[in-house]
Amino acid sequence: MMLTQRQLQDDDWQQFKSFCREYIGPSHNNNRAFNEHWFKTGRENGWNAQVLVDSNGDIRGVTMYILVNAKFGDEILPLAWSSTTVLRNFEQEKGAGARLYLWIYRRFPLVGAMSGNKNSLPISATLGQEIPGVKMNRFIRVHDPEKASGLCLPENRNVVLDIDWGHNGDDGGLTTNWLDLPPDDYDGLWKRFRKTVFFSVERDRSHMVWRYVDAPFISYKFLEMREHSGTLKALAVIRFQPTPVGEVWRIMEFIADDDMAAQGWSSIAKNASARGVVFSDFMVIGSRQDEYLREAGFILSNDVNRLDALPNLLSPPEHRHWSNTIHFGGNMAKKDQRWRSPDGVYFTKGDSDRDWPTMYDLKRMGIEP
Amino acid sequence: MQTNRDDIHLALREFLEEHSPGSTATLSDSDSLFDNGILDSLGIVALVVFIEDHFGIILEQEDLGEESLSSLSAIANTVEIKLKNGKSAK
Repeated sequence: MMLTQRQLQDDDWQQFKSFCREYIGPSHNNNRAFNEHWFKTGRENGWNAQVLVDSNGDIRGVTMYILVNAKFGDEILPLAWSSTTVLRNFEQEKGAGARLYLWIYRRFPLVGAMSGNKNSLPISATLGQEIPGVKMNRFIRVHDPEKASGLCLPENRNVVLDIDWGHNGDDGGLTTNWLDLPPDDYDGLWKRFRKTVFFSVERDRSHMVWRYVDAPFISYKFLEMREHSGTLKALAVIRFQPTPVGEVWRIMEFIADDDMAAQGWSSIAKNASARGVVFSDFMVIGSRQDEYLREAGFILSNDVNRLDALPNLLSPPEHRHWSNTIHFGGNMAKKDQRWRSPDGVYFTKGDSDRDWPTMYDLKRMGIEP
Repeated sequence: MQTNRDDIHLALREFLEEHSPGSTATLSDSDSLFDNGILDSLGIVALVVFIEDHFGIILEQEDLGEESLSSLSAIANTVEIKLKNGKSAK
């Protein structure tokens, strides 16, 4: 049957919802407010989703992408994060998904695919490139080893207990404040930070508000860190996650001046310890923060220390392993390869769709998935 | 690039054999690549990247329909037309 590809339209909503419910199952995709926030940013004059429809107008396949601005060298360019793609079984067999993927990779100068699953990863690797040796790193700082061990599977509890977690480092006298919004002078800090990386999401104040204030379902807090003069030196975005043994901090963003970055991480660690947090973690692509994190006692999870025993998503019992991959395609990513260096990029778990609510989150919030 | 129809068929066959080893020995030019399980979404993506790199052409979205990719002959036709029309990508 002949299929036509077009942008998702408002009139498609009920059918789109039924399609998602049938082929994705109960999920955030069944909530219109959620989809409008992520896939209707207005930058494309409508939905950032493409559908394949048959001659009866029935949806046979969908691909969704998140459109943000990216800092790429000296330019600001559209970056499309490839998100969910799903097709009816028949169309899947006929390779219709390839059309949808190829459309995105041709339409936008930069296309990103983060932590793909076993189905999407080979396609992302064919259409995009990775940075040799670079994956999403997860740095972990355990503040209460005894409680943290309670989050691990029984056979993995010693993974946390056997490590000397040391001290929180020197916070350099930074003063900290919790905020519901990014501070008014944040863009000055971002402008200084963005000069240090070649390729990143354009994390200006408007992006931060869209991503961490306006996004539905999950709440985030901003931790500002200032020196005595009052100058903003660092800003973190943190998601507080409750667990049966206490609160966990997922650090989504960290923007800091290089001269106070280690102290910024130390400030976060001290705040977390003082508040009785079980552990905090930060997932990042790009090496610029590595040494600063280590100075504050954060440890990179790897195959040797097996710190991934501490669950990523904390949806009990959630011990899922991610692929932790990152691939970028699109004409500009192909044309200008300067982004392919470990210290040239800066992406976090806050990018793409990696921090969306799980089924556990939705149920806990009383939201019908 | 000077490429005749035989060259196109040969290059496509070599790609398909590499992508799906053992699948092309008895495959006729008109056999369905989908029904024979030779191409899926990943296969199409890889095929498109191969065609564009190898022949120096750009396949447009309208070239990626089920019919255009249904058989070795259909794909070769698309490539041949693109080459004749001089739609060079490089």
